[in-house]
Amino acid sequence: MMDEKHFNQPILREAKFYTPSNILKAKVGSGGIDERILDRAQMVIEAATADFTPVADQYINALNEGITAARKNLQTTKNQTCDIDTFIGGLIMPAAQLKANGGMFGFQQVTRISQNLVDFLEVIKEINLDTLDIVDAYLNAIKAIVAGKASGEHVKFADTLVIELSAACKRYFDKNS
Amino acid sequence: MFLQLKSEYIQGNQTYKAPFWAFFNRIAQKPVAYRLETLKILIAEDNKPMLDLMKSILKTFGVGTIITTMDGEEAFERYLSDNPDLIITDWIMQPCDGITLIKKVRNDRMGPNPFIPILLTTGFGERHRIVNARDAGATEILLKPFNVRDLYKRMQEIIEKPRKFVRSEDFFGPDRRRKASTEYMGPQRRKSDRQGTGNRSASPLNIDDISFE
Repeated sequence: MMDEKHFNQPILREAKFYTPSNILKAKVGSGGIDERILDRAQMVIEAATADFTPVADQYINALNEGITAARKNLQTTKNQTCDIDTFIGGLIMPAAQLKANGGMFGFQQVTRISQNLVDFLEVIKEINLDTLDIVDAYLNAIKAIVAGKASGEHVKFADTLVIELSAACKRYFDKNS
Repeated sequence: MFLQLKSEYIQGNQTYKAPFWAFFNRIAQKPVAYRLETLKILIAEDNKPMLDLMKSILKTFGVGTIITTMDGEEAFERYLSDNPDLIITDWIMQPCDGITLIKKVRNDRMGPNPFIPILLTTGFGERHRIVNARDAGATEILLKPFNVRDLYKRMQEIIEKPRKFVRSEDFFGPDRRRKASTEYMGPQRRKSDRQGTGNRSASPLNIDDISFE
């Protein structure tokens, strides 16, 4: 009976599967890692709070440069929007780095606010002046938190910041959808 | 030969100490753990404090050899020269990022081990990003910020549930299918469909949650 789907011809471009040797398992054996060792390793993370400010500054500066480059493009071209593919990287990459690294070094509020910013940037369809104003607002919030935490002051307004920034994003999408 | 894990045995009216059996008994009762001192792990991370932190965590785990690099190019060179057992790479690095590194490792014919497990760390948690990483050939993904138990669970998945590899026209890398659906109640046609039921990371999106398309 003819294979109508494949015209009775052998399938040439098939995926091949391999089962490589489990070298890792052969080396480490069984049993896992003791809970006490995991606790000790977690303490290493808890203790790592002192080194984040220079790292944060690096990503804050990168985000600032991303905003500046996009604003400059809008001014130069006199367009309403700039090319999102060209300029989104300069915004979302430093935002993602702040989100990723903040919480690793005790700056959980930086992660929280940066996550909010990344969520916003993942769904925008264009970059215009309103977009850049929102990103600027997030940037200023992150700067304030890094400065506050670095000086030892408790940043009590982080919750309020997140609420206000989220509200700003909602207004943006109401206007720009 | 009849083996008894006892430290003494009775024969007639006499009780004998059996140090040979006591030794075996002590060994049997001793908890077993991964021999991480045998491992060689390559880390690629351009953020120095994060790199140092990762190294400290792995040292605390007991990993024997930890190679640190600060970009994808350097990491690839060390992969070629040192043939590590596991690569942990960050996504965003310059000039060569984690995705480019993964593709090079998977597709370079001169590499010592294209099947090497690769754990990608990233702040990106969106589905399309995870798909991107999966399609580049990442074995597992670890979302940042993470805690030690998240990292441990990912390493345990790699050790205990290694993926098969697949080569197709446009892809070589770990099999991207390992989804254990809890909704489907019908017959399981493939044995591999029943895999992936172990501990899941606390990360919100797992590479196993992406169904094969």
